[in-house]
Amino acid sequence: MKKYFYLILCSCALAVSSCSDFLNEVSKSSLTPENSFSSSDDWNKALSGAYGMLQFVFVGKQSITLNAFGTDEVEPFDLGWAAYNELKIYTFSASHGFLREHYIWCYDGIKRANTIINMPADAPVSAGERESMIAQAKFLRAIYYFDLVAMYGGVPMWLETSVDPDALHKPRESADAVYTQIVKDMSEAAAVLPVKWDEPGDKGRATRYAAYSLLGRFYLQWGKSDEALGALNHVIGKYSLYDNYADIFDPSHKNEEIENIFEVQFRHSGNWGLEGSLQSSYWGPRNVGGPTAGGGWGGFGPTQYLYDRYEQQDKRKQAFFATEYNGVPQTPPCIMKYRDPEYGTVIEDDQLNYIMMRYPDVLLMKAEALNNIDDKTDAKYECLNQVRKRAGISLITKEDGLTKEEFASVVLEERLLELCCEHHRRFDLLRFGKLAEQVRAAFPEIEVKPYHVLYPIPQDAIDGNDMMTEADQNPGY
Amino acid sequence: MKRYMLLLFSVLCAMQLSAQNIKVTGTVRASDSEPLIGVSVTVEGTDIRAITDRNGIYTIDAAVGNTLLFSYLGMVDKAVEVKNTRNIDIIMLSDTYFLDDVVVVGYGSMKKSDLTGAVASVKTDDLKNTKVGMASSALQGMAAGVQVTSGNLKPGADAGIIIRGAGSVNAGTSPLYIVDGVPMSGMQDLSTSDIESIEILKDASSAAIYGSRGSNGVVLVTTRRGEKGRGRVSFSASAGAQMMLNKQDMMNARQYYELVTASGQDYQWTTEELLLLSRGESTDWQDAVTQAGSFQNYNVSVSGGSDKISNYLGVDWYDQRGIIKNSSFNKLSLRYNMDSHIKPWLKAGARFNIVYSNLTNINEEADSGYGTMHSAVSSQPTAPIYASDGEYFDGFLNTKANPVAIVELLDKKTKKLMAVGSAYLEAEPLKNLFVRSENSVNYTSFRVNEYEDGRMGQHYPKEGRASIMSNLSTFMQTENTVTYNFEIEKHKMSVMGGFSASRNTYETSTAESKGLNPILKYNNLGGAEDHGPNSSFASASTLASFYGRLTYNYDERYLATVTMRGDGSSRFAPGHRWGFFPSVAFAWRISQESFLKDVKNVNNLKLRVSVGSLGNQNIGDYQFSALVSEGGYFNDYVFGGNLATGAVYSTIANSNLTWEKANQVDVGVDFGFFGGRLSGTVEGYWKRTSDLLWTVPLPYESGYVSSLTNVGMLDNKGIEFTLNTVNVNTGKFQWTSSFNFTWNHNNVVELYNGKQDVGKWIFVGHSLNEFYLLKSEGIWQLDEALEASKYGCVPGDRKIYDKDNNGIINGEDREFCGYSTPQFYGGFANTLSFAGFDLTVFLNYAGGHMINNGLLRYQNSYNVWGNMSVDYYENYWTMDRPSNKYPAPRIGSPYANGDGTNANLQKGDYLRIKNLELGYTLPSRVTRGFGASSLRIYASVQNLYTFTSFTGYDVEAWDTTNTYPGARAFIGGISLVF
Repeated sequence: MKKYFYLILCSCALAVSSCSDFLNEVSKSSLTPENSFSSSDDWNKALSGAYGMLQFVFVGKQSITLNAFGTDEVEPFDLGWAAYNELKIYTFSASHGFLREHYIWCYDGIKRANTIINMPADAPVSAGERESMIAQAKFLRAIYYFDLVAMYGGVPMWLETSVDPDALHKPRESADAVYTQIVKDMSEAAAVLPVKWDEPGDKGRATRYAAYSLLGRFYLQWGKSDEALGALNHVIGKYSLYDNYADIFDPSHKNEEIENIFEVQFRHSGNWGLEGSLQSSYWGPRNVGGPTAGGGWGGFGPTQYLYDRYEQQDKRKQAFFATEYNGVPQTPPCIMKYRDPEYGTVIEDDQLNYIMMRYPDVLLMKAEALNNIDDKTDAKYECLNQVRKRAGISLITKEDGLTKEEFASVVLEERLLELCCEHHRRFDLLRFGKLAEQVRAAFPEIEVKPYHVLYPIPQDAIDGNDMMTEADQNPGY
Repeated sequence: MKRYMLLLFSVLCAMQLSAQNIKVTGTVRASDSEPLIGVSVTVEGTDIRAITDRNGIYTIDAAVGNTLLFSYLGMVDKAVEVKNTRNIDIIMLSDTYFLDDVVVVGYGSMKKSDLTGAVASVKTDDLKNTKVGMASSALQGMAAGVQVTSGNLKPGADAGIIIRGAGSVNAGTSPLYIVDGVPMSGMQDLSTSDIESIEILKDASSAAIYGSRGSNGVVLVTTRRGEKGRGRVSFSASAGAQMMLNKQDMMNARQYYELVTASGQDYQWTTEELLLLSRGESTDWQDAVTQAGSFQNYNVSVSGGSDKISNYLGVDWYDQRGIIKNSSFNKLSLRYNMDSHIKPWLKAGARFNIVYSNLTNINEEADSGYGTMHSAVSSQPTAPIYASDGEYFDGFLNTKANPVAIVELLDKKTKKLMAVGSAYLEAEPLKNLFVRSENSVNYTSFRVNEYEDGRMGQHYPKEGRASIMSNLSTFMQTENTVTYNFEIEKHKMSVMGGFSASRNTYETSTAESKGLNPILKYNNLGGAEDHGPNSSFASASTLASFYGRLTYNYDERYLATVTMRGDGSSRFAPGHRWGFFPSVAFAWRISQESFLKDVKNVNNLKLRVSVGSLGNQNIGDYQFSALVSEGGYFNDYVFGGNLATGAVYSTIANSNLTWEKANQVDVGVDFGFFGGRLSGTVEGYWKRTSDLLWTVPLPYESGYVSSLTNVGMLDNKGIEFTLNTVNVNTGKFQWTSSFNFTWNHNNVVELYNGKQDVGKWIFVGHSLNEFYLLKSEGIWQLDEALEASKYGCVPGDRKIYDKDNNGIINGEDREFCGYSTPQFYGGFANTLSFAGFDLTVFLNYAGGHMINNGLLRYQNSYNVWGNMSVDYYENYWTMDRPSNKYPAPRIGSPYANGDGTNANLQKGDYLRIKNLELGYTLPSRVTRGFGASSLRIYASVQNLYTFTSFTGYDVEAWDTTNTYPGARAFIGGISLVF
């Protein structure tokens, strides 16, 4: 009896002394800062994670609409969904869910890129590998910041990883400050990145030409045409145009680097929500029975306005659109850029990459930049005509006697015809200062106000950041 | 002999006096038909007295016109007049506030009279009002302050319990369940028949002994044990049928065709649909996927004991066939409880419970469009079940699946095994000093096997998909306590101190394959063409605690309890792991004071006051730490067509993460009047939770969305009222009632950093559960065309209130539109008995809240994806019929389906006749004939009727879109005791 009593006392005493050990449990299914990033493989995984956010920022269920809705090229049909309707008719507020999601994802990508860029000096990675990884991370960081600055204007800048709770709040920077950082990152990346990745397993990584083309896009959006030209010229002549339009988007031509310069990578994974893309399910023909019947959900599609812009002989009219699918008339016509012959009947799990940059874009940007700086040579016509020639439409030459403004309009129109439904339109219209005008052309009843050139900073972002107040919100919201 | 003569003489005299003296005999039973031994029976006004024997039988001499008085400790006294019958069987009603009842309080028990905290006690008998479903749902309406919702009505689903309002934002609101000293995740695995009593610890003082985890209240379950003396065998069986309730009134094929045509939708009618239409047929999908359900429950228990040892053995089999085809649940439970008195100073015992259950589930896909019931409600009535080739029709709109194919082909089974065991040793080394050690293990594993046949529809992989999810959780605990009781004159004291340590582990893994042999399914994943994704996860947590309690009783008049508990949890950041939770309570038994002691009709009057602090650690493991997650769709990427695993900092560290704390004040009055015929409790509480475990939004620019942080303050204030009455208590007729009412108000007091709202979701000064939505104001009418056009609308579209009147409808126009959780709730039970018959009517109710009826968004607006309600068909807006109820069937009509607005909110108030039961207990002379001590047969209707304006499948359902419908059950049963 007494023995038993002592036993309990002893066990109590023992338990007390070992309590702090007893209460230490270490995470089993996730790593912690103490045991992670201990090999070069680990660091490569971190880099893959930084690329991974591209899938969300550009081809998420909600973000896929952001550069297309509220323009002249795309019309949401599922207006019962208030979020769609608000983007279309410009009644969205700072609490719009799509903007919030897009904002979060951009910064998640930035956080991931920063992890690589701030790689500690003693990381177990060779010097060459380190340089290449950091260049790729800068490339990605620039892309994410560009989407932010072009949509919301100047935003708070994070250039380091930090988990210090006291340093979490940062103020809005000017748009110029953000652009300065973006072009710095992208230039540094371009200097290091290879022109091509030789290993098949590396296809899809950032290349020097991808960096220069994007740098051209960033400069142009920033209004710096000379610098844009400088960047774009690195790429001119390095790519060519497919004869067949379908080859641009067909998954069997993925990563050929003939016309396409940078592609966000996807692959069919057997389940939706993994590494497959949802482009075929979202852009597919309407009312034909949904994705499994080879169609789409029917939530949105091109406008009639867009389709009517094509001349009859324009090959793209046939190549990019269908007015009927499986016997179901498509009015307005549906877009046929996002068709996957192999996995096009699977729900939200197709094989399509998103083509973020392709050569016609570079050519048209160069034409635009040359026009902006009043270049008097034939160069801008040559660039423009390369694109028009493939389409089988009349070429435009000096002899047509276009003024600078007229030429700009031609370039903008050509961008619409060539690059429609590829996630560029809103930025293009903003750059040319024609958002309101063009939206009115497609939807006469919709009035775009001057302040709409910027989306509102998501309300939750303002609420969550002590260094931002309502006064920091973009005007008009 | 002399004495006998004398007695005989006096009896003779008495006979002479009244001339009609008779020998009256009968059995005295409690209301559960157990015979009562030792009941005193007296003839009023005389000394004639008898005592019931071991079978509850008495025999007494009395004259017609005399009154027999029956009295027994803990029972309401009873008086019965002797008429011409010689047999008077008596049922005695227990005094609902019998003060000598022992109440389990955690690490011990107390007499009810000694309680200082708010403890609701529910006895087995009270649980019988729920016959279909799990033990947790049986608590519904039984106790004030305890809100039970059978949120999911599928067979085998557990009900949810919230005690005194939701006290947490992100750390759970469900109470701590302790079954015989072992924490459990809920009550769904218990057999109701094994339960002796359930105690619900509501205030800070009573729950403080479980301090760390007590902030949401504690539910203590004590299971049966063998009793000394007579062995007892009881057998009960019940079985019944269930009929679906609230079938939704959807359009038929002709109406659907008409409406689609009118809408101008570019609808491609399939050949099969046109064929069906031409025949004038229509498919009723709800009928096609439902059936009459059935259920049966058998229970055998054997118990008994001697001075040295007592045993209880319970076996329970529950089997339910659901009202949705191919859904079922069965459960086998085996319990063995043993207590032994090994030496005069040493006791030992054990509790074992093994429960094995099988669930065949319906389709509950997160995207509820494919869920069984939702797809049945929304599938077009023009679609046939089978196509002309005999295969399932698959021409549904936008990949919706064939509901019949889902119920017939989906093979989703969950098997669960729970084994719980605990053993204790209790020594009394010195008189009144008890040293006890109790050690327990809970091993629960469950496995979900699922096969999705490709024929289920376009939404599913054509080649079939199988998955196996396997889970294992283990729990080990040691509890060691020392208790010392002493008494000096009028001072009674008890001191208890203890130490406990426990560890939880959890492991889960999922394997998945596609392209399988449809016969072998998940039983041969290796034979599939395509494997993955596979995944696994594991975590563990530990808790170490010290606790103590001091109770003091002065002269049975003044009572005090001081409780203290310190807990260390591995879930919190180093340096912040320990939390201390003290409480103190006082009670004054006014009825024991000299000025009331002799007042006949005041039997109990007690004032209780308690104040204290409780904790909550109900969060995931390792949340204080920064984590790097690897793999998964969110992290991975693709290079060269191959998967590239990504690694990402997924959570930020919070090195200050610590306990959520709830401070609670409670004031209550317990009363018992008129010999126990009127008793009850009135109680008020104020619970303030602070340092809430809250996933607070971080600056998004950091790349992190949120972090679990201790911030904010939340109030729950409420009033509870319980009243038990014995309305009629004559010889043959008894009527008792019990009523309870709870009102709870939830209010956010403080957020963080001075914020007034979080994402327009949670607001300071409002309830945590309040709708904040746009206001639907009917339909734009023809004469409002101009105004409508300002909002991009045309007549026939939904009109939304433009709060700021700026011509734009967006999130800034939202308003508060009611609470989403009931503001009040309770139950009302009535039991009437007459000559062996008993009738129970049990009602439960809740109200003051709104329900967002998720089905309405499909039913009451033009839905290009499927069917709509008849109500919509009859009331949508047209030029000729300018309804103000539902929008016109115009594709692209803004806010038509009411999303983001209050259009689909319905009042949630309801009153439900949950149990109507008629029973008959055979007279004891009949049951004695075959050696039984009692036999009762009964018939019951469950969910007879619900008064409510809510139109969905069930007013209590959590999922209002893919709901498992409620059912009315008709049940017959028998219970036999030897």
